[in-house]
Amino acid sequence: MKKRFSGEEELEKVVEGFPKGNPYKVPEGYFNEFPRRLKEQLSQPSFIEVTHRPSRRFIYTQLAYAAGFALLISLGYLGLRMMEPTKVTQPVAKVTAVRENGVYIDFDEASLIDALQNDHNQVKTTVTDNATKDAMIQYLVEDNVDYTTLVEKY
Amino acid sequence: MTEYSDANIVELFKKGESKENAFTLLVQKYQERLYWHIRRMVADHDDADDILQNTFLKVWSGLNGFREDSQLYTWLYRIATNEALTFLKKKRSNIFSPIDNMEYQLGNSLESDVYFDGDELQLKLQKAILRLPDKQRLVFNMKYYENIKYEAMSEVLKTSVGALKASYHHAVKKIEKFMAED
Repeated sequence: MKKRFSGEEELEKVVEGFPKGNPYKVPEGYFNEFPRRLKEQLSQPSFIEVTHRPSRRFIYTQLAYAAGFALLISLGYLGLRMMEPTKVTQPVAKVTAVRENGVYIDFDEASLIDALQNDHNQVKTTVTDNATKDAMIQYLVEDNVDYTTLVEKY
Repeated sequence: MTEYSDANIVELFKKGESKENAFTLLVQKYQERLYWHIRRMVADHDDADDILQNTFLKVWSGLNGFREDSQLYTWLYRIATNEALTFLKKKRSNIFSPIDNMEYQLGNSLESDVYFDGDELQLKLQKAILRLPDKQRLVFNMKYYENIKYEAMSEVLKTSVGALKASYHHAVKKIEKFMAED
């Protein structure tokens, strides 16, 4: 007689093929220690719920994601920077033509400002120059300019 | 050692004077069963330890209000199951990578888990179980490992026996298919 398997019997046959036993382990003495640890928690003034505390593995995963994300952002930024056209530094002031007698005939304002600025920055020979100053004092002394006037002026 | 009945433990606890002793008895009686129930759901020992602690803290807070019209172990299993499911939900919501998901993470983490001692076939079975939807995984574990009757399971999970049988059927078929893959 042909035997017909019901759904459950068929399932049982499939399940029989699965490996048996418990592959998970616990640290040594875990179940002996657990009631004591729990008691300690209960004796605290207000025990803290720990279920939603992120596990170490979870924290490591999140850190890895954060590091990867930061790396992606950095690479993207670097790529964008490298794709930008290189800026060529143009001289701000450019004299385009000079007449034979040395007079500028075509220049922009910036070149004029720069030229004046450079002129201003140059060290000028003044009366503070020792040689000139001595000569000047000698001249004034010879011309009877009084001491007070000399001090006030120089 | 004398094993106290559930009714005795609850009575002792409710008396008040031996509350802590009664609770220790309860923890000693149920910690292993609840631990393995949780561990098979979350795979990782540290996570299972956290959930088990939280389960018993909730039991401590709620045992005074426990009505003895239901069985103690059913109530304990329900708390442990809810805690495990809440944990998994929370963990799932914290994974934001589109190319990864928690089920794959749980399965793959077993390979480097120092508290996993299975051979290749066991590893494959556990990976298959961890890839099942939560409800199917619960039903499969309770039937396959804990040999809990559908009627008792129905009380814990608040689901009809027919729906539980269907879940178990789907789970076995999925595992069979996964095990047959290379």
